[in-house]
Amino acid sequence: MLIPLFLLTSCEKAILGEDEVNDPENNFEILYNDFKVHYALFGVRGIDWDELYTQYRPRVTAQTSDQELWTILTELIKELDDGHTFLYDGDKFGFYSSADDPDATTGDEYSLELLESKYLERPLIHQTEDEEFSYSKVKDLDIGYIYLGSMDDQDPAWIDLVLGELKQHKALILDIRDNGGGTDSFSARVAGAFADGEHFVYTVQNRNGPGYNDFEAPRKFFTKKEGNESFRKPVMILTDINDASATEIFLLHMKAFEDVVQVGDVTGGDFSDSSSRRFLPNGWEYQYSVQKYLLPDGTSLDGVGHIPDVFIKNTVADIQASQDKVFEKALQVLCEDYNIK
Amino acid sequence: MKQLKWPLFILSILLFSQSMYGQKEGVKKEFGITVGINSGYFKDINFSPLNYRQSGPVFGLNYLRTKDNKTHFGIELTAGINSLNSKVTERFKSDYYIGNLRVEYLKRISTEDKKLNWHIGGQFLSSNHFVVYEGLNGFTFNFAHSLGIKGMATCQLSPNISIRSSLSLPLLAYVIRPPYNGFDKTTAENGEKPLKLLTREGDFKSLNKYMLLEWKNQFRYKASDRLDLAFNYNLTFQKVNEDTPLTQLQNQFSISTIFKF
Repeated sequence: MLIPLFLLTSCEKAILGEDEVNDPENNFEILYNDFKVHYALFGVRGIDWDELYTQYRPRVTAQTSDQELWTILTELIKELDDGHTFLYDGDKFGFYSSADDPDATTGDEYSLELLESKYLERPLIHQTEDEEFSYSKVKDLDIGYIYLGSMDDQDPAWIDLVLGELKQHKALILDIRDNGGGTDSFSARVAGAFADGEHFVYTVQNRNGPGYNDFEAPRKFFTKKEGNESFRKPVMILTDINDASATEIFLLHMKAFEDVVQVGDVTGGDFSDSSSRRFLPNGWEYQYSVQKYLLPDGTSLDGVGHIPDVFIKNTVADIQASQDKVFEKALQVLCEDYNIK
Repeated sequence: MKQLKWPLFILSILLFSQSMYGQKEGVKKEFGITVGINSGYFKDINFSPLNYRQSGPVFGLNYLRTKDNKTHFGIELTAGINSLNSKVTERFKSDYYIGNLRVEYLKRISTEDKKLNWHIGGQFLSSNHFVVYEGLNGFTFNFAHSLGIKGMATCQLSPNISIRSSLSLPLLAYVIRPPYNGFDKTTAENGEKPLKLLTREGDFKSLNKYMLLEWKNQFRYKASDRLDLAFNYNLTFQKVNEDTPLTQLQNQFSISTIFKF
C-alpha cells in the first residue's frame, strides 16, 4: 500500500514536471508563443508577429499588475482585428474580442418586429422560440421572406420545408442580418437548396507547423444541390457587419449562384474556425483562428468581409423611426431590376 | 446507448462463442463487475500547458475463461467519467471520459509450484479518453489501439485467498490525437460523436513514442464456489512523446464481484 500512497501524494512534479509559473511575464510568453506557432492568419491579415513582440514584450515586467497585463494583451490581440480571437478572464475584466469596435453596430439596426408589423403580410412563422428561423411573405408583393438568424441549432433541411411553402413566389428576400455563424456544413446544406450547379467557392487550410507558412494542402469546397426543393428565382440576401464565420461561408456559396444579390452592409470578415479554448496560469482563457480560407483566386476575405452588391445600412434611428432601409432597398432592386410586382 | 451498440455487440459475440467452447471439461469461466475510483495526474499540452489532477469513478465488466489453468482468455471493458482540476482556478474544471477495451490471451509458463503460476501472452488494448471543457469550447482526446505483451503472476495463499499481479506494455500502437492546431473540420463536425473520432487518421507509434505501462494487482477472496470478491489496485502510466506531449498517471482502487460458472 505504500507505493500507491506515495504515488498519490508526492510525485506530481516528478510525473508532470513543474506547473507553469503564474507571473505576468510567463503569462505573456505563453500566450504570445502559442499564437506564434498556431495562429493561422498572420499572412492573410498582414501581421508581423515578431515585430509586435518587440513592441509589447518590454511593457511586461514581474511587477506588471493584472489590469496592466489585461490592457497589454488586449492591445496585442487587437492588432489582429479578428472576431474569432478573444481573451476572457471569467471575472472582473470579462470578455474581449480582437474585433471589438466601439463604433460597431449594437444589433438594434435591425428589428424583426418592425418587419413583421410593417413589411410582411402575415405573421412570421417561427420555427424556433428564439425566432432565428422564420418565414413569411412580403405585403402586396409576390415575394417570400425568410429570416435565418443562425447557422446552427436546427436541422438545415428545414429550408426544404420553407421553400416548399414559398416556391410559388417570384422572388425571395433572405435575411441573414445579425447572424453570427454556426457550422459550415449547415451553411452548405441550406445554400444547396438554392444551388444552380457545382461551383468551386473556396479552399481551407489548417496551420500544421510552427513556421508562419506551415499549412496543410488546401481542401477545395464546392457548391452542391441539396434537398428536394430548389429555388432558382431572384434572391436578395440582406447582410450586416454582425454576419460572420459560417454565415460568411453561406454567402460564399450563395454568391456563386445567378440572380443572388447581396444588399446591406459589409460582413464581419471572420472565416476561420476558432481553436479549442486555451488556458493561462493566471486563470485567463483565450482562442484564436486556426485556418485560412481562400477564394479560388487565392485571395482572402478575412479582415475584409463580403462587400455587398448594393451597399446600404440602417441606423438605430432608422429603426426607431419604423424604417428598414435595407429591406426597402432589396424591394426596390427586385421591383426595378427584376420587374417583380 | 447508441454509441455503445457496437462494443456491446462484439462483446456478446465473444461471450457467446466462448460459452460454446466452455462446455468442455477443465474450462472455467467467470464474469466480473468492478466499481472503483481513479486518482491521478494529467497533462496534455494539446489541451493546456497546466498540470491537472484527475479523479472520479470507474466501472468495469470483465469476462475470463481459463482452461486447466493453462490458458487465460479475457475481455475487459472499462468506462468512467472523471474530473480534471487545475490548481489555477475551479473554472478550468473539465470532464474526462474513459472508454477502454482489452482482449488478452495468456499461456501459463510451466512451474512445479502449484501455488504460484506465471502466465505470459499478448493483448489488444483500446485505451481511449476524451476531455471536454465547457461544452466543447475546449477539448482534447487520445485514442490508442495497441498490441502488446502482458505477464501475470498468481499466487494461491490459502484455499480461499489468492493474489495476482500483472504488468503489460504495448509494443505497437495506433494513436489518434487532435491535429497540430488542436482543431479541424473532422473534429468540429464529430465533436459530439467521440466514437466517430475513433476512426479518424492517426499514427503508428512504438515504445519510444507511446507508452502505456499498466501494473494491476488483485487480492481475491473466494466467498463460495460461485462467487469471489476482490480488491484491486491498478497503476497506469501513459506517455505520448510528440511536440505536444501527453503525460498521465492514474491510480485506481476498485472492488470486484466475480461470478464463476
